[in-house]
Amino acid sequence: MHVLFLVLSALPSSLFVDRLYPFYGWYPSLTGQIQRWTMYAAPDRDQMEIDLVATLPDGSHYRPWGTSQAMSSRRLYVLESMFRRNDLDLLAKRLMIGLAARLPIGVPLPTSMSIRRTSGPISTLAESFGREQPSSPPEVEEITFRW
Amino acid sequence: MQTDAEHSWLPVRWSDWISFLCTESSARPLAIVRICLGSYLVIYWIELASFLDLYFLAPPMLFLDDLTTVPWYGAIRLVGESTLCRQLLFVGTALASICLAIGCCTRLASLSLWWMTQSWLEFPVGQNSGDFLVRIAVFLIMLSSLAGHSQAIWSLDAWWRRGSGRTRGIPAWPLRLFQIQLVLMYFFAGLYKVAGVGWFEGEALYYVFQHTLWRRFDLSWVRDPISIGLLTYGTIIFELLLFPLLIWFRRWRPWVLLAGLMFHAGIWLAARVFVFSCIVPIYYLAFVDDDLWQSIWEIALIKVRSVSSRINQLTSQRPPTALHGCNPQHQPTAFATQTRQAAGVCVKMEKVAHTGVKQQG
Repeated sequence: MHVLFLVLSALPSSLFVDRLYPFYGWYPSLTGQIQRWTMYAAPDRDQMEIDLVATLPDGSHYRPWGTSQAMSSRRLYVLESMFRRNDLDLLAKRLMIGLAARLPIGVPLPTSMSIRRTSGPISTLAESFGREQPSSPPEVEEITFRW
Repeated sequence: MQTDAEHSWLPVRWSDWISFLCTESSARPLAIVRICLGSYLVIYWIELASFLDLYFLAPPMLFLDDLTTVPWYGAIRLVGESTLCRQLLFVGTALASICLAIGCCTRLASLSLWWMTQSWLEFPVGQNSGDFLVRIAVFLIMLSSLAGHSQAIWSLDAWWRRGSGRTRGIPAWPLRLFQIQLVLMYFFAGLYKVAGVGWFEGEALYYVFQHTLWRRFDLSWVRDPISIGLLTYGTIIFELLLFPLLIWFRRWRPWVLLAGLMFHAGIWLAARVFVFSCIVPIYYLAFVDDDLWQSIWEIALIKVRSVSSRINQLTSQRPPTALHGCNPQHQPTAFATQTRQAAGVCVKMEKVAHTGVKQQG
C-alpha cells in the first residue's frame, strides 16, 4: 500500500489521479511523503537575473542578501519563486518587511525594497551556431514594497 | 543473475515479496544510514535557521492562519506564535537530530524529529526536491526506529542494553523502504523529463549549462550537439532505466552507485542545487551492504598500502642528507664533547653532498 500510494502521488495531475485522491491523499499529507520529482523537467529557456535591493533614505542602495551570485542558493530560489505564481505578492511583501526588521545595526529603515527579475530568451542550440542572437528586449518584473 | 530476492529474477509471487521485505539482513547498513542522516540533519537545520527565522519568528512571513496544511497537533500550532517557544522548538529539532545520529533515546528522538520536521517544512516557497527527500527520510527512519531496528547497533541505546558489540540481524524492510523510495524518485524524475520537450529533443542540458544565474561553474562552452545529446539522453536513460533496474543486481550495484555519485557530482558542478546532492548519497547508503563495505574497505586498504609503499620507495631512494649524521639526538652522549668537531664534519659533508649533486646533474 505504501508503494502504491507513493506511485499515485508521484503521478502528474489528471482526472484519473484526482478521482483517486480521496482514497490515497491522506497518506502523503499525513506522513509528509510528498512526491514531486519534476526537477529540471522543463529547464528555463530564459536567461535570468534576480536582484533584491533596498533603497535607503539617502537614496543609496543596499542589498540585504548581496548579489545574486553571492547569495545562497535557497535565498535565490525563494526570490525566483516569487515570480512563478501570481498569488505570492503578499508573501513577497512580508519577506521584505521581515528583512527590513533584520537589517544590521547602523543601516536605517529603507524607504522601499524591491525584488526585480530581468529575463531574456537564451539563444537556441541551433541559433548558437552562427545564426542571429535573439533580439527581443529583456523583460523586467518587479515587486516593490514602500514604507 | 542474482537479485536481492535470491529466488527469482523478479519477486512475482507473494512469498517472494515477503522474502524481499522480511529476510534477515545485517543491521550495519541501516545504522550507517541513521548516523549519516542524523549528522546531516544537524547541518541542514543550522543552514535553514536564518530562513526559518524569517518565516516563523516576528515579524513572520507566515502566520498560524496561513498554515492551513498543518494539522492541530502540528508542533508549530501547539507552541503558538511565541518567539521563545518557537526558538525552543528549533533547538529541540537540532537536539533530536543529534540524538538520532548517536542513537540516544532513538525512538523518542526520531518520532519528535518527524513531528517537528512536518511543521518546519511547511513553508510554501523555498523548498526543492532535496527538502522532500529530507522529509521522507525522516519519516522512514522514524518507522525503523520505532520498530527498534535503526538503533540495533552502533547507538547509545544498544550500548545501554550492553549489545553494542553484538551484531544482530534485522528485517530488510527498513532498508527496502529507502531503496524503493530512491528508485521511485529516479524513475519519476526520468518520466517527467522524457515528457518535456527539451529532453525529448536532446537539448535540455544545453539550456541548463547556459543559465548564468544558477550555474556553479561555467559550462556554457559545452555546446557541441553530440556532447549535449549524449549528456541529455544519458541522464534520461540513467534515471529511467539504469538505476531503477540495475541497482537490484548485486553484480551491477557498485557500478550503478558509482555512476550515480558521478551523476550527482555533475549536477553539483553544473548548477547551484541545494540539499539534493547531499541527501541522495545518504539514500545510496541503504544499498551498500556488508559485502560491499568490505570490498570498499579492501580497495581503500590496497590503495593506502600502495601509496605508502611508493612513499617508502621514494624516501629510501633519496641520497643521505648532509646533516643526517650530525643530529644531536643521534649522538646524545657525545654531544657535549664533540660539538665543535661535529660542526666541522657537518660543513665538510655538506660540501661533499653539494658536489655530488652537481656531478650527478
